[in-house]
Amino acid sequence: MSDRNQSIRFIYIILSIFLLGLIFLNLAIGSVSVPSAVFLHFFDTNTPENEIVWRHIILESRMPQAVTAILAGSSLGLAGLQMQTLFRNPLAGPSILGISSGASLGVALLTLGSGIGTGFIGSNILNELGVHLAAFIGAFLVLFIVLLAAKKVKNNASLLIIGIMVGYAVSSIIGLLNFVGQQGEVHAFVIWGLGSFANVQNSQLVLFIILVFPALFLSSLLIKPMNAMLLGESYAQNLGVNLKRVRWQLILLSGYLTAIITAFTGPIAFIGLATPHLARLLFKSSDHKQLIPAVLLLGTIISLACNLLARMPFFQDVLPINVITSLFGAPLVIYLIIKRKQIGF
Amino acid sequence: MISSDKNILETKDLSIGYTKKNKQIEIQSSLNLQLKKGELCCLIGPNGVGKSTLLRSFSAELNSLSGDILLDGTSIKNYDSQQLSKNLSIVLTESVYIPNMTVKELIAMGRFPYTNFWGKINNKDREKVDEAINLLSLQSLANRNFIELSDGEKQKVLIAKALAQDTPLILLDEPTAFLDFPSKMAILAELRKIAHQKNVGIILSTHDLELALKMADLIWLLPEKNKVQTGIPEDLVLKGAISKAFSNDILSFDLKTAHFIQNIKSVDVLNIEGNSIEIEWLKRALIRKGISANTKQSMPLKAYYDSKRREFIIEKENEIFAAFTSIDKILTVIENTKFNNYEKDTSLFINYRNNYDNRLQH
Repeated sequence: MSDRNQSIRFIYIILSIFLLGLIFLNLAIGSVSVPSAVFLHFFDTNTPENEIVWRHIILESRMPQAVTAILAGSSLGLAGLQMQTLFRNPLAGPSILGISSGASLGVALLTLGSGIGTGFIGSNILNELGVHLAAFIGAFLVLFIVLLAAKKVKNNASLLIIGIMVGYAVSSIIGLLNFVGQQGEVHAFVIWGLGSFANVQNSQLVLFIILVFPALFLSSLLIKPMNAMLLGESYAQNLGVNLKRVRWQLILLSGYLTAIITAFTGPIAFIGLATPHLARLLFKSSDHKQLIPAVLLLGTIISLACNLLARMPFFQDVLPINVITSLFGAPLVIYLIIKRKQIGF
Repeated sequence: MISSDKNILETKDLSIGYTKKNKQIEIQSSLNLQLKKGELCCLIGPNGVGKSTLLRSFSAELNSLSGDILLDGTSIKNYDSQQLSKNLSIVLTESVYIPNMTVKELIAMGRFPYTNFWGKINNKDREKVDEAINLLSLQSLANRNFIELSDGEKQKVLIAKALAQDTPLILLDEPTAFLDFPSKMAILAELRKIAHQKNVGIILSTHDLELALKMADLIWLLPEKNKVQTGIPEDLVLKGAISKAFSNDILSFDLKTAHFIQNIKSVDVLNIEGNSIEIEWLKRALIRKGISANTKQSMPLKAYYDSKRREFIIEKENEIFAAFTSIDKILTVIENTKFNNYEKDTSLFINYRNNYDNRLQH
């Protein structure tokens, strides 16, 4: 056992070094190259005149982006783990219950339906808040529907299908809105749908953190019942788990986290599905005491790495985050799974 | 065997089934069953009579339609889920698939009702887990990955998990399904040992009638239409309850051997003599083919085993007719013979006869 503990500690040390390195690189690298001198003087009280612009870029643009990536990665990783454990299904992820589709519907209604959409990303803060809010409302509407269904339906598999169906239904409405939308609006909506960590301003960061952290904390309280759920519903119930309550709590927390993140960043593909698998493969454990900190850390690392890749100077422009997450992440996960030959939920 | 007189489980006019669209579908009713501590009870009956439903009603996964279930003298309706988890453990047929979990960790999940908010295992929990591991002789597997085990081993681990749960009643839904015969025997022997040594009540549903009759202290027989029958195996057999419940067009229960035998439709051909092992297996082979294997003088052909020559000999009117080195060859010949016309078809045996004569000469 101590052997195992040691190797786990080793993995944590390596990952922490990775994390710190990624945070630094996220601040240091971008489309504008910042001289290293800026970082040397970063904590000085008197900033030289010529470095103010660079400091501004780091503090006002790259820093909130990195924090957003950290929040999104950790939350989506956790939400994915919650869904995979609840449904005992390795294909489950944060978007499986249609919550991110709900967010998309909200944004689609705003951008495609009302005509205020074109060019909303980046410049106008009010519009940006409007998009966040629309996504938020859409996501919570779907979450509400799913929670109602969860009260009605006893069987988890049925609930999963209901969630997927709600997602399809919502997507078809989005399809219709796309069909009738103006070209520019559709383009703006498509861009939003590709996800971005760059849409959260410093002023919104505090709100973002306040919204996310309680859910992360409450999730950690479910370690014990989540472990029992691994055995299946009947066994879990026999061990004294209140199935109905735990199911509700898991859907609520996972759905809430997904809704918040999607509202601030757009739908982020892949991270929520893949992070739990990477955590299980890396830590060789199904124990949520191990997995919850693991997905938080790994989700953060993955999203920071993706954010970094998306802004690599050799790409002409900043690439959408979903292009990176899936393009680089999918082969990596396939490789790991084939190599280890074991996958679970 | 330690056994208190108090029933660990008792049902009073219990009726079980499902509720569908406010309509009750009753599967069994008026069940009045009792199980004492330290007893291994086998729940048997044909498919679809409600064995699983009964077990799921006991574990409160299903609500019973009417009547009451008393666990240790108290209605299970008065147990909350926490109390129930400390009094009743289950082993199910559904497969458990958890990658990256060792046998020991999985057994430790049985301690769930006793651990703190974070599920931390303390020394007493560790003791109980080790005890369960020892009782089921799982020491050598303790640190193996659960999903890499064989089906029989997995079943034992899940039983150990139930044992670690430290409950006075353990319910097992077909714990021997999918296992080979030696594993089935082993599992039932372990369960019996546990029931007697730990003084817990164990109820298991099974299709393995012969095993149940051999191993159970008590049998609850759920027949399709008749009332439930309870008793020790031997009494139930003698009362004819077993053969009544299980016999059908194809099979009948043989009281002497406690085996099911195929109902024989074909004609008698061979008068089989002797009771050597070879002859017993010849009889089995014939029964399998639907041919009577009785000892009757009136039959035209006589068969016996020549242990010196290690051959099966077929005689007709006291004359050696043919000899066979394997049962397979006998079956082939007999199957090709039209029994009602054996006189004419004896030609089929001639080749064999010639062979035999030749060999006798050498």
